[in-house]
Amino acid sequence: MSTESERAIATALREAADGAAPAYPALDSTAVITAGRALVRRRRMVRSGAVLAVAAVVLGGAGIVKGQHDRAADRLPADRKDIGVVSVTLGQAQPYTATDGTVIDGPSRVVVTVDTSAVDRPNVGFYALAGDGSRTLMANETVDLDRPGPLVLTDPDEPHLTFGVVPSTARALLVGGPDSSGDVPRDLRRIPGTQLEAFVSVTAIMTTEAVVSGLTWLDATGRVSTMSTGEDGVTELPTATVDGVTTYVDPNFGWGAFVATGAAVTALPEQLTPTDFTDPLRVAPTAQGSGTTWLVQALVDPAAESPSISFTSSCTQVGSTALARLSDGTRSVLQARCTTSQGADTIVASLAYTVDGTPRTMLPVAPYVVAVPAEGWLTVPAVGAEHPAEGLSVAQTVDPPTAPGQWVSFRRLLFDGQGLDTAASFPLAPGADATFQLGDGGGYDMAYGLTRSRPTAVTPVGSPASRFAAGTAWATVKVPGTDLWAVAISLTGTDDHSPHQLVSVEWTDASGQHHTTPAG
Amino acid sequence: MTRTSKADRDAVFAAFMSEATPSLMRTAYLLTGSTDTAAELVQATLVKAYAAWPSIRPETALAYTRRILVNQRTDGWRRTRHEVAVADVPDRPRPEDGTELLRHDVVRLLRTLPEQQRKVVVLRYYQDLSEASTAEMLGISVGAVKSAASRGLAALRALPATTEGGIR
Repeated sequence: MSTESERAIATALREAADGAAPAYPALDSTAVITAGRALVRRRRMVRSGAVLAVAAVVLGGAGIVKGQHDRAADRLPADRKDIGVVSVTLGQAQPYTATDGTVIDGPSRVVVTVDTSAVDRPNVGFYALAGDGSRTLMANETVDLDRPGPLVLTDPDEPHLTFGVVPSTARALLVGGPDSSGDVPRDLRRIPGTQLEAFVSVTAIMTTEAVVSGLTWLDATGRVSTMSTGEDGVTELPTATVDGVTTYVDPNFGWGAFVATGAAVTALPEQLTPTDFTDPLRVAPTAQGSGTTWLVQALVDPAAESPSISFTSSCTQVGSTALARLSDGTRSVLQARCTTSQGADTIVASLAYTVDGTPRTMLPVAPYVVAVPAEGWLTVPAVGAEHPAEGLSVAQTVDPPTAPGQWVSFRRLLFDGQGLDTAASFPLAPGADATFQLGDGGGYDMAYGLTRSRPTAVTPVGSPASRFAAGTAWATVKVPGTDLWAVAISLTGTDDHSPHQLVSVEWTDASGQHHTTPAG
Repeated sequence: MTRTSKADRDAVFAAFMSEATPSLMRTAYLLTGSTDTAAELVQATLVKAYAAWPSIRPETALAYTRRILVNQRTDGWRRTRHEVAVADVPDRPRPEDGTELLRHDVVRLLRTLPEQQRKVVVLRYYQDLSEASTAEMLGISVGAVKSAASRGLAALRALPATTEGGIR
């Protein structure tokens, strides 16, 4: 975004928020912490009561209105019977241990009901089951049993639970969470008499409808479908199945896998961040007994052949290295397993394959972040306004040295310095001397680029030629550990949102050679 | 597995609260249009953050808490169904100064926007989030963000001009 009115709105909002600062009441940290402790205690008391419940309770919820969250009013006596209601108690899952050792009870106390009294739009309700057998509505929603679609619900008072329904053909399910890491549902059960399966997931972090990014599930035919929270449509994802592992790629969120072990199927957490499609290698434990079996996968060129994986001395390969092309033909999945008898910090030494006879190698590399000095940056006049001082950081998140290229993520500091936002992420293809792309610049449009040598002059060329006449600014930084220079260019004159505004970038390298690189 | 002592945890949280409150309060004010309601919203947000604190990574604590805040706002609407957007904000007298007038009006106009439009405008133009990040935080599509931002901006363009040219 970069129109003058958008910038003016941003300025007005900041001035309004800042202008009211003297009137903001002070908050008492002691009071907040006391209230927080009380909230924790209340949740623990509810959970400890739930442990006393030993039997599934079949109770109905006829007549419950969507959005009704008055918990006192929803609390019903334990002996109430409702007609036209089917229900099921979801499992007896083991407690979940959070990262700090806090034990969070599993969802054994959650009851799901389907009120079939409204035939065309049954009401699905999720209830917390208390020790006295009474239940409290956490959330409910209407669904169409003839066309059962996925549904994800949360309850602000149970922030570690996510629940919902998926079509009954689902064999395994992944609930997408923050950072798209996903969470494996604790239970997935068919609701008798319906074409629905209900799920309940426990997470170590708080979940809200906005935090849950969506659902991804594997059905009995091997298809993988996904639904993003807030959108109605279901999308079938490209998959490749090798040795009981169905791998899928979701261009919006990342890539993951469902692993079959006997009759059971488990979902591995998704590997990638939502915006950085930059991590082609994953290593995940899939079985533990006398040792740990690790599943190693990599997304590689669809034309890859002759795959091999070199493991570190701590891990012994089991079986062969396999290669399978995704159903959409965009990439192939390279896969192998190894076992360790003890813990191991590093599993993979390298992966290798060939493309058209040319050998390629991938090495796992740790990410790092480099900050571009912001002083003097983005201070040129632009369309009659002055850019605020903003920072920019460049993060090379993953470095597969030879293929498909060296990915670099550009992340800009938010105006208050309180976070980073991904602005662009792309690789420089092997053999190319530069690439430039438009990217997000917050209040201003930006172009980002990678060059193979240090640029000394950079001039964006727009369409029409006068597009950037009001001025541009640029900065560059060497990406450590690579032969790449990251370039960021602030643009002007992009207010009309027309396509193809950036035609190319003319730049000069340190040797004085001029280049013209078409915009990607 | 290491457990942090309760006192240590509270000290770390108190430090976080001190650092994060000004930023959260500004966002809450734009979402609610009232400094008092903003304070209540931030306090409720921080209480939930405290309850979840063992599971929150320090480097993402503010972003995570901000996410709670946005959803807490949604929760508030659900729980106080009698609350409606009003055409004017009652807790502050209408100022005479030009700059104050613009601040007052932008908050007043924000308050008249539908909830999602208001959230999108605040996240996109105040929090400076990208369309993709705004969509991810609100759990909606990028297209919905674009649409809400466009409509929200159209409404906010009713802001009066100032000596510096106002909003066109």
